[in-house]
Amino acid sequence: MNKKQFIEELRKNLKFLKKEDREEILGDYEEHFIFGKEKKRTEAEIASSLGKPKEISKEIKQELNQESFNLGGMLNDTFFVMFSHLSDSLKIILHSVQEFFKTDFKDFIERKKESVKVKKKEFVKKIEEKQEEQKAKSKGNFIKKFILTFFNIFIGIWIMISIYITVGSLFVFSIAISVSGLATLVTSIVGIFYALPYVADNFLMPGIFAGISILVGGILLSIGSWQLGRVFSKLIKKYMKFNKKIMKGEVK
Amino acid sequence: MYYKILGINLQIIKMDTQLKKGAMDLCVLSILKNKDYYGYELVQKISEILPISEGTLYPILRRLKVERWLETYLKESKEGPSRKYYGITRNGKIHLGKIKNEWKEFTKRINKLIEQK
Repeated sequence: MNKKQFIEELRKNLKFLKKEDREEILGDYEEHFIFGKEKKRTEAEIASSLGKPKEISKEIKQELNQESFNLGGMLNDTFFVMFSHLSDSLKIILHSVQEFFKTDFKDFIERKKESVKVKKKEFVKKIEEKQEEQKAKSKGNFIKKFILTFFNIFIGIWIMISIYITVGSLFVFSIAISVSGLATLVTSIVGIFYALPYVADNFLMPGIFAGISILVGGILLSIGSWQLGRVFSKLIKKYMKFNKKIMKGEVK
Repeated sequence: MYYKILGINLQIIKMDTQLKKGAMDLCVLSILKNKDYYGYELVQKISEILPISEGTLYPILRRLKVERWLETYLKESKEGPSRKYYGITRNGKIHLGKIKNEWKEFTKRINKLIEQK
């Protein structure tokens, strides 16, 4: 096989290529023949060392497939690189999150626990101090308390009851007076227009005046007794407060 | 780490066509690493090392050029027509480093396997 035959056969087998690419490749082989000849090799020798044109075209086909395959490989490579980076960054993030919870959260909980403990201790101390103070106070006031309780039971309560009864009865009495005054007034007025049994005619006019005066007096008396009751109740409240203070030991 | 393993797995999938060509890529780029050669010279040099037909090398050189690992330029010659020289690019040098390591790792594993008693 000489140069011409070789090139022509190769050209036939490279019909799947574009014309430019085919001619470029053929140019390479032609060059090879030229330089081979320079090295004093025969065309047949060069052709045989190059291999069969069919084999070369196969090789070229494979290389073309290789290119497309390589594109896929490149895509795969970039994909895996991206994923490896992604997984690395995720790992870093997870690690940092874990560390955060390990250190800061633990620290936070422990600090809280300690603060609660301290607060509890303070609270208990305060209560104990208060109790001790009260104990110290109550010891000194024992006699006073005893006298007060004795006084309250045997005198104070009765005084209070009598005051309540007095004021209360005064209030009831004043209301009764005003009711009777009202009754007198009403019967006197009614007696002017209608002849009433058991009511004398000459009683009617003075009955009206008497009724009015008794009613007003009763109302005034009831108001007075009400006010008196309030004053007494205030006094009693003050006395109760005084008692409480003595019981707590606040009065020396 | 697993990317590298997967890379090797991919390599193994393609191996029936890839292994020989991987070796050839490595040879071509290693030869061109130090000095530029014109086609015929380069093909002769490689065919001395690897038992392949010289004709199959031109498609490989073409592919390497398409990948931009090689570049070609014409240089006038005193003896005859201008020659097409092949030189390695910066990308080619980076790729060479990568496939060199892959080759070493691959052969190490294979050697370990075949040396098992």
